[in-house]
Amino acid sequence: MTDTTDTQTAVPAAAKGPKSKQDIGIGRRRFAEWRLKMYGLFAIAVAVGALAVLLYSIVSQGAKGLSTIDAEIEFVYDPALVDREGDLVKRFGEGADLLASFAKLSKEEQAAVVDRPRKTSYRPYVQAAFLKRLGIDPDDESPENLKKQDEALALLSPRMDVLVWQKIQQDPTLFGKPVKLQFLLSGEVKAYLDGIITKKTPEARRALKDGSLALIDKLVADGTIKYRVRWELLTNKQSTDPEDHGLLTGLIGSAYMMLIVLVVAVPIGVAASIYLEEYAPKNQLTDIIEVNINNLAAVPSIVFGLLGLAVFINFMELERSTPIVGGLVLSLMTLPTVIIATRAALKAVPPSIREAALGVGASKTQAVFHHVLPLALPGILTGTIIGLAQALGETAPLLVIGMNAVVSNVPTTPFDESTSLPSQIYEMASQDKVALWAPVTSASIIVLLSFLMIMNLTAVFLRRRFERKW
Amino acid sequence: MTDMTTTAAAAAAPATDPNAVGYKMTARNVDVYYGETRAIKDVSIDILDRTVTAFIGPSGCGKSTFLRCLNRMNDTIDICRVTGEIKLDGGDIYDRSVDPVQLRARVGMVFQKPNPFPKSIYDNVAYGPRIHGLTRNKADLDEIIEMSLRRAAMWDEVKDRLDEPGTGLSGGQQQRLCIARAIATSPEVLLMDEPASALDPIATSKIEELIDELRQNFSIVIVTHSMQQAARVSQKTAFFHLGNLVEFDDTSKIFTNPSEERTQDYISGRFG
Repeated sequence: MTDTTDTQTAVPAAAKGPKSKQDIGIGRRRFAEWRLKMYGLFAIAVAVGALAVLLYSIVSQGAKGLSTIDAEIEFVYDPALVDREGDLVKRFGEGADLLASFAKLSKEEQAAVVDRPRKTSYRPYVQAAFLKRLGIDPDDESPENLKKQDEALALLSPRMDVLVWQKIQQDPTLFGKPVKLQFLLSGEVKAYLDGIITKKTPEARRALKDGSLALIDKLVADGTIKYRVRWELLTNKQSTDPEDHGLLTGLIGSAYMMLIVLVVAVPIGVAASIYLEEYAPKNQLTDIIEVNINNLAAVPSIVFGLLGLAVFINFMELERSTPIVGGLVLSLMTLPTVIIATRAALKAVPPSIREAALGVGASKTQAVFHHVLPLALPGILTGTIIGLAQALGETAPLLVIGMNAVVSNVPTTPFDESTSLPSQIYEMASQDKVALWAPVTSASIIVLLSFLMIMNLTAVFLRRRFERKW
Repeated sequence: MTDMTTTAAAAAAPATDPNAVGYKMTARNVDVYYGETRAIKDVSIDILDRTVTAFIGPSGCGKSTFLRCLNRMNDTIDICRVTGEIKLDGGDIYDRSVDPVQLRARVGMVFQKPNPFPKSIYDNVAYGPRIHGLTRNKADLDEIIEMSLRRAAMWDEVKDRLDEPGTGLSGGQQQRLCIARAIATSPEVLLMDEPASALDPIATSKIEELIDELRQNFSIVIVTHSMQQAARVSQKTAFFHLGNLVEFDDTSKIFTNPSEERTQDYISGRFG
């Protein structure tokens, strides 16, 4: 009752004042609230806008890199090529039917024979087939025709002879037969079709002259040049030319490194967290350890790279550029992330669950492994996957240990030389012919981001799926 | 109010016959230190078998701390140190040869907040028997679970949904499930740390009825903030204040004619 009388007297007193003080206060408070909300909205708008610009630039460039063109052209593996070194003539005598003799040979002998011509030996035949398809006489050496030849050959990728060579390596019986081949065109052709190079670009500043561009227009018009998805981005090895560059080496290298991180960092990290959280006494030593683990998470990644260089390569004498070294460096880097996430997950399990287990006579270890750990598992998994995703995108420490090398062979074990997805992207981004490499680089970034997105979505899914309430 | 005193008087009756029940646990000169702080000061108390003993007292008086000494739950706190002597059936529970894990199977505990494991009702009750290897086959285990749930007066409520999660039950049911879980290992003493403080009055009265039932088979020690509850369920009451055991006597005597002035002040609501 005293309350109501108090307010009754208070209200008229406030109303009496000229433009009551309380009203001004409320207006100001509301404005402050509105202003704070606006700051927040503005910040979010900036963040979303920046993300949109980034994604737009990557996707618009990357879309060009995700498609490729090729031209289907008939190619004959000329009998003259079979015996470039004269082996067959020596064996079967002058004037013998080389093709028939070749067919009589055993599989191993055939392979040995086709292995003899060097890759470059195929070049004249490839070029001749291409010129014939374009209706240009490959043998006419008049200056006019030579210019035409040059204009046409500028369209052909220099890698084409290698591809032709690889095909016959796989199947020696193709010799002497006409085969329809997908001819790889030079990166400049794709750049012209993508609008990166146009006819307005001064002729002196582009590799393809006006004559070549006119030829491309003709090939597109008659349907020889066809667009398709560029699966080679995932299945090809590294290359010096953007048109057949692929990420296979990096994908395998990164996969090995993720495997090593999973095998090294996760068990050690989870074990360390369980000890620190459930068993370790709370004293100065464990405090120092805790502070240091938190600090380790903030150490610049290049420092871990230098540590790896000193310890794994110089001291332990492991091979440079190998996934084992990269994986160990990334493991060191991921360890603090795993430990912090796991400890947080263990902390989030209510102490009542531990008490309940101890109360019915479970030992400490039983309480941890039967109750606490299963409940913390979704959190641990999420933290681990986020840590792995972070490791997958890490570049700087891998550059220090030489994972940016151009590797000719696809690694078969973690001890073979390899490269990684992000360091490959770094290499592609620092190529000279920026305009030609940019689409492939962006497409590779899309590949990397897709993997990261899949990992993060898995983390979200696991958290949703195994989240338990108590 | 009249209700309370009559139940208390009736319930106190068996305890008056010293030949019917023996001492289950005895504590002599127990001190508990948290680091430098002395939380329990020289407490000596005898817990009778098949009797409900209530610990009452204001917050922070040490009643829960003392309760947790009786099954060595305080061992899990690094800085906690216990001196003195606590015996269960004549054996010192703080003896080197005693494994606290086995002790806790003999001295079960029910906590303030219902804390079922986020597992099925069946697995909740089965956990204790499983880790102690009390059963040889599924049939034995089923039998123990049915008996425990029956004793906890919830068999009929849950017998058709034993595989549903224990966390899906209501608060009162959860607490009875925790009691079932505690008695599944056939303990001799059951410690209850404010078992009804998180429950509504109806659930509380069910728990209290249950405690009265369980007295047939177990020695029960209950910490409670509610003096009415202590009067309703216990035969013996111990009043703690500032770490001292001020008075320990039959419940009827404590609530009607306490010998200490501090007890009188507390139960009449002058402090605490």
